[in-house]
Amino acid sequence: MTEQTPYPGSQPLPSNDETYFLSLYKKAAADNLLDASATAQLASESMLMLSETVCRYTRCGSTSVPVEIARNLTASNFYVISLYLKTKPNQQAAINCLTGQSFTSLYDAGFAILMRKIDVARYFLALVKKTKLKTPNLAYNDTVDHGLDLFFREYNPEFAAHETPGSIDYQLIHPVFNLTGIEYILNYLQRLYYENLFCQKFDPKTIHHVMMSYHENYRELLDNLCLQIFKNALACGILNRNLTTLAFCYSDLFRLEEKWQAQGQNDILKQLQNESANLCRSLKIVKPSQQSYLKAALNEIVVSITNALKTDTLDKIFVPVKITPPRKKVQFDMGPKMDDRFFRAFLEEFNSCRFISDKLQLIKKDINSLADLNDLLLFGDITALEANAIFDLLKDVELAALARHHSLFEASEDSNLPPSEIRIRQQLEGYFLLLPQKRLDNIRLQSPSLTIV
Amino acid sequence: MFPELLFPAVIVSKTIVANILVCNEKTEPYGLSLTAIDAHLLADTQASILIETGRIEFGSETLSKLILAFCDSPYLYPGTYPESLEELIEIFYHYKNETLELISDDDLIFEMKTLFNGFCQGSLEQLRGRALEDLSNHLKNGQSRDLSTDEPHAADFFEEEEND
Repeated sequence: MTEQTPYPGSQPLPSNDETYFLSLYKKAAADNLLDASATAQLASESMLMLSETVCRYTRCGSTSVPVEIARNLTASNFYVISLYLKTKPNQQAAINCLTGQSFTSLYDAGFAILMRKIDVARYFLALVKKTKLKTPNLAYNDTVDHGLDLFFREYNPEFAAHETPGSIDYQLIHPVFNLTGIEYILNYLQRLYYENLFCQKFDPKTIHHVMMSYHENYRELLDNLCLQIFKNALACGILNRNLTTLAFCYSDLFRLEEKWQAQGQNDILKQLQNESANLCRSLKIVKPSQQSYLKAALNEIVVSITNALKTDTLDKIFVPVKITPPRKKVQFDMGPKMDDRFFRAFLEEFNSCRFISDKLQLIKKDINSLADLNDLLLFGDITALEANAIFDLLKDVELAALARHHSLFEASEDSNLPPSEIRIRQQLEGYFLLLPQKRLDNIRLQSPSLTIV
Repeated sequence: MFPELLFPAVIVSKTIVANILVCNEKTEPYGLSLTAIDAHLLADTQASILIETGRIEFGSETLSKLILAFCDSPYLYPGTYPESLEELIEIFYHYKNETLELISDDDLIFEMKTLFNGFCQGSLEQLRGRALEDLSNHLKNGQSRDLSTDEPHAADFFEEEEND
């Protein structure tokens, strides 16, 4: 398994509670890069800065504050200084800044960066709102419509730069860890924007169908929408299914499962990486950062696939789309069956035919109902090639009726079915693979609405 | 959270002691003065009270302000002057917390002096108790107070006496 590459742009910090400045200070102290006078100087400047901040905070009305407020103000000052120090190319350069520049100049430089980041974050917020998905998911809508705005209303860059007000419930594919304040929001917005851009490549109704198939009540879930769309898109690519519908059936999934059971994690990962690249080409996703964002999800997807293969739950990863049938049900009459004696005689003659053309002639002459044709498919000596030729004789609605009759587009395990039933399903699936996508989509759409009589 | 060197809990400086002693010039006409030992003890008291009340002080003039504000009070006596100042310091920082930073240092000192000399009639216990509690509640409830006229209600005073 290849080593997981951290998502580009993430900057891991030693601890959630420490700013970059403090972690740098500790490292410098541990490496003896700060002598006693430098440390004393830093302490003195830090307290002086805090004193000035307290004066501004209390509008020079108080010279004392609760320790908790002082700590928060210090954390805010250190956060701002950290923004500047993070622009240095390496830790040594950052430490040189600590010892070579005054606290005030570090703070001023950091504050300028902070204000620029706020502007950039506002810009990304506008982009996120512009590309907002049309979805009933509550967490997504609340976050985009209200939660993110709340951050900008309540964020206090002067006295609480390190805090992250707002109400952000919606989870990203790659959650933002180890960042707070404006850095957190900026990263969150960038990632949400990439996810919006990806989802915009698909019809909102298609996304809705996928998510409804994922969970009927996805409206109230906190799960990420883009990840499921991405997974289904990958599956469609691998299965050579129509990308725009994001749809595939359970039998497709069974074949994928069989294929992957025989492969290792690295092979599966390579397939997904190739498919991700194909997907980006098909969907014209050209921004390297957006491509990387999607690609970075593949390792986690592969791990979930591996676990799903063990527990036979691949349909929880790649969700076969259950398209809600139209309300109006149509009755389809399979027609009357011929007398059993006649059918047996027909079958004998049929099985004795050497050439497929003769078999087809016989069908055209003696088979007058879909019910009889169905029985022929079940009990006759029919190869896959011959089955395709027989299916060619049928209209779309008749194929849809057969698919419905044999529950082709529904989840069911082949192992519970008799061999003849399994064979006809496999023959139908094989035939459907050869059909033009539009025709197949039409059959898929009609099938669930038919009631077979 | 922070290394001690970057964030000392208590700031005690010679400046505070020096500032206290300078105040003697203004307070001696009223018969009140502090020795160097008294000044050090007051500075130590301030440091202890800051730790007790969970506050950090960045200025060096808070004690001086208290001393100068109360020096003309008819209720401060030479024999108990240092002890009274200690109590006033404690009351000051306690009510800085209680008023949730809604009142500036100068305004709180003014209120304390006005109540001490007026309604409380020199009772530090009264000052610490009901008088400043009322102020604190007023501030927290968002009610404005006219700081210039803070005479107690005569009826309130007699009600207090009856309850004693």
